[in-house]
Order: sequence, then structure tokens, then C-alpha cells
Amino acid sequence: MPRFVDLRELESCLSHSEAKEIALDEPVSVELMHRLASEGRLQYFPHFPRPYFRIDHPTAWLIQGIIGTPRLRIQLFGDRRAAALERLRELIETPAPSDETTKESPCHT
Amino acid sequence: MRSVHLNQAATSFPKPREVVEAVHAWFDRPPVDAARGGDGANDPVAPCRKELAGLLGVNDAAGIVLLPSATHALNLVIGALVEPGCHVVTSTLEHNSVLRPIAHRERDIGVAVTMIEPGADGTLEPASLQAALRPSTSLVALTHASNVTGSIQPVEELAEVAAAASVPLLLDASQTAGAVSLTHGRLPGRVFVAFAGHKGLMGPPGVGCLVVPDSMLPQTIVGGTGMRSEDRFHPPDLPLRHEAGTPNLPGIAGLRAGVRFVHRIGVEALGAHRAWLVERLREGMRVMGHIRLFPLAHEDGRVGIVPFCVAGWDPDEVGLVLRESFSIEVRTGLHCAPLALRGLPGEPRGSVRVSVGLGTAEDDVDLLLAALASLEGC
Ligand SMILES: Cc1ncc(COP(=O)(O)O)c(C=O)c1O
Repeated sequence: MPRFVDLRELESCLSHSEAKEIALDEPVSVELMHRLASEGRLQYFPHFPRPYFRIDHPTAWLIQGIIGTPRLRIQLFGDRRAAALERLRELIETPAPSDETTKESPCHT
Repeated sequence: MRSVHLNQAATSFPKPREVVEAVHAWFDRPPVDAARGGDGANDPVAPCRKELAGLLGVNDAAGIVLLPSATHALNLVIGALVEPGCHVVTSTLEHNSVLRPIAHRERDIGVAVTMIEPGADGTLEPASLQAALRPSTSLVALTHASNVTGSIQPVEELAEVAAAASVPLLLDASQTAGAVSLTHGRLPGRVFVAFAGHKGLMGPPGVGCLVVPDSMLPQTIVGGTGMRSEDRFHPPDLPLRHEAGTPNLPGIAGLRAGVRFVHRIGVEALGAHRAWLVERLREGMRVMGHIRLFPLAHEDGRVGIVPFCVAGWDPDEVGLVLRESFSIEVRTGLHCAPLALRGLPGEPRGSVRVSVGLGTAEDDVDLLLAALASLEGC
């Protein structure tokens, strides 16, 4: 189970996009990606040299990550950003069910 | 996976070996006079000025002022020449290091500002400058080439318009120094040229340069120079007139080596190398239906900049994917020049900017094209 070890603001050229980076204590797995995608729309690009994914929550967040790196880039939206961040922490730190499938899907799933 | 640096417009990489060695060599010798570099043997300042004067066709090397950055150089001129009651002409192509000092003067002392906009080919029309001038205009501040579109401006014609009205011209040559020839002595009128040392001139960060045409610019930063300490006032003569404090001596040593290197290869050859890479990039991108090259991108590729968007992708996301998935570094967003994309169809929220330079090889460009091809249809 990955742990949320740090959160830092990312500098952005555009002031309206407020991006943060979550540092994890282990690399992002396909399983974690699917878990995060349970609350949003997943787009996955497994054919890139380092597979990339993004997850768009309908109202609260955008998550972008690379399978195999211990970082997630997030953007939070709306007025309940602290609650959204807490929810993300819960999703990340939930122990993985042993039988969970880790099926890969092509881009625009 | 090999990393590819296609953000040469931000800072050049890799630096030539001799630049790295010159910086290193400066640290290997004890500074005899730590304030100003000392005995001459280990003093890179005067030789660096000479190299720069040679490169820019400046007759007297005393007119080359060495500062911490292009930003400092631009601020120095704007701060000194834009006074209450004055009017300034600038353009929408400018970097924030021109726009912000002017905006602060506008907010703080109420100066009037006119922005001129480029035509469809990305260049500023001399007639637009002519129309913008007023009797109260005290400065025209324009870029030699946009850091967003790469468009090279007709500086001779623009300088003629400013000179005919007896208005000083401040030229920001940060993107052209070392890539597009500029002979200061041939520009008519009172022309100041500011540029960074760490881009096309291949120097380390931390040194910028200002070419001044005379010693009439008011002094803004004064202090120690290591000379004539008994005087109450800062020396009035160039170049010390505008240089106060301990200079970045290792940085200047590196810049000196960078400028020599540029001299040896030749500015024309360096510009031609960039233009050739830009053509290869554009050819590759034109056949990709999902890539939209910005119309303001100049046909003349010597600055080495290609701005574009990818259908279905936010520019920032393209930058993230290229860096994290493909180890290719480009720049995305507004590039510190927030008005440069104004007026383009769809008012883009920024662009992806690929920039090439001396350190860029043909296969770096091909790696980028292959990466961009794989974004299609996603
Ligand atoms: C056109 C232009 N002007 C000015 C600057 C400022 O240079 P520096 O940050 O080295 O002061 C830059 C740097 O990106 C630039 O591209």
C-alpha cells in the first residue's frame, strides 16, 4: 500500500491552474491507477515508453501520473479542495484487495 | 532512455567544454583583489567586454555593461528613461522582463503605454511604430525576436523610425544574440541592446549585458566599484557608470569563453544550423494532422523556435508527457510573454514551444517527431 509522503505546490505558468505534486513512498502501479479511476474517467496510454495516465473526476480533481514513478500530479477544483485532497489520500492509502484485477486498457478507456 | 533538451530558448545546453573549463579555471586561481577580479591575469571582465564588442560591432568596449541578467539590463533602461508624464511604445511580443517594468511604471507613476501588435507573419510593422509615437514618447522597447514565435523583427527599419523621431530604442536581443547577426554601429539613432549571456552565447546563467550608446543614461544602481573609493559618488564613466558591486566573475569568465566559441563557429553558421533543424521539425509536423503549427511562426528559423498545439491535448499536458514518458524537455504555457499569442484563432491557453540550438542534433528532432506521432488519436 503506497503512502502519501509529501505534497508540494508546482509552479505553473498559468495562474488559473493550481497544480500540486504528491510524493509517494512507492512507485505508482497499474493497480493504484485503477483504484484512483474508480472515481473518475481514466485515459491510459500504455504504449508510451513510460506509460502515462490521467483521471478526470467530474467535479473535484484531475490526476496525472506515470506508471513506475513515485509521484502523482494533481489539480483540485471547486470549493471543497481540502476534502477532495483527503479523499485522494484515502484512495491512495487503501490497501489493495488481493484479488483486484490489474487489467490494462488502451487509451481513452 | 536518453534525455533530449529541446528548451534551448530558455537556456542553452550542453555548454561547450571550454565554457565549463573557463568557469573551473577561474576558481583554480586565487583572486588577488576579490572585489573586482584583481591583477588582470585572472580578470575576465575586460576581455569579455572586448569579445562582446567584437561580436556586436560596438566600436568602444566601454559601451558594454555587464550585469546579472538581461532582466536587469532591461529594467535599468526602462527605469531610467520612463519618467512621469512620459509615453512608452512597446509590443505584445515582449517578454515580462520588458512588460512588467513598464507596467510598474504605468501603475506607479502613471506613464502612458502603447502596445503595437505584429502582422500575420509575426513581425512588427515600422508603420505601426510610426503611428504609435507621440511627442511625449521617451522610449521604444521592442524585442529583436519573440521568445514565443521565433519571429525576427525588422530592427533596422524600426530603429530608423525611432531615430527619425529622436526617441531612444531599447532592443531585447535575448533570443538572437549568437544566432542572428546584429551590428550595433549600423543601427541609426540612440539604441540600447540588452541580452542574456546564457542562451545563444553559451555562457553560464547569471550574466546579462547592456550595450549603451553614450554615458547619458541616469545611474540607478550605485555603490562599490573597487575604484576611486574616496569619491562620494559612483564613477560617471562607462562601463563602471552602470556596474556596482562584485561582478559574477566566474560567470563572466564562462561567457567570455562562450562568446569566443560563437565567434569561432560564426553567428551565421549557428543561425543556419537552427534554421535547418526548424525546417526538419516543421516538415515532420506538417504531415501530422493532429499538430497545429501557430501561424505567427516565422518562416526564418534562425532563432530556432517552433510553437504549436496538439489536438485534444492541453499544452501543459503535452510538456508533462514529453518529459515524463519520453524524456524530452520542451517548454509549455505562456513563456513569460503573456500577450504574444493574443489574437490567434481560439485564443490559445498557451503553446508547446520546441527550441533548438547548437547542442541539438538531427536525431533529437526525430525523437521528438516520433513522440508527437504517438499522441495522435489519443
Ligand atoms: C526575449 C527574452 N527577453 C528577456 C529574457 C530574460 O532573460 P533573463 O531571465 O536571463 O534575464 C528572456 C529569457 O527567457 C527572453 O527570452
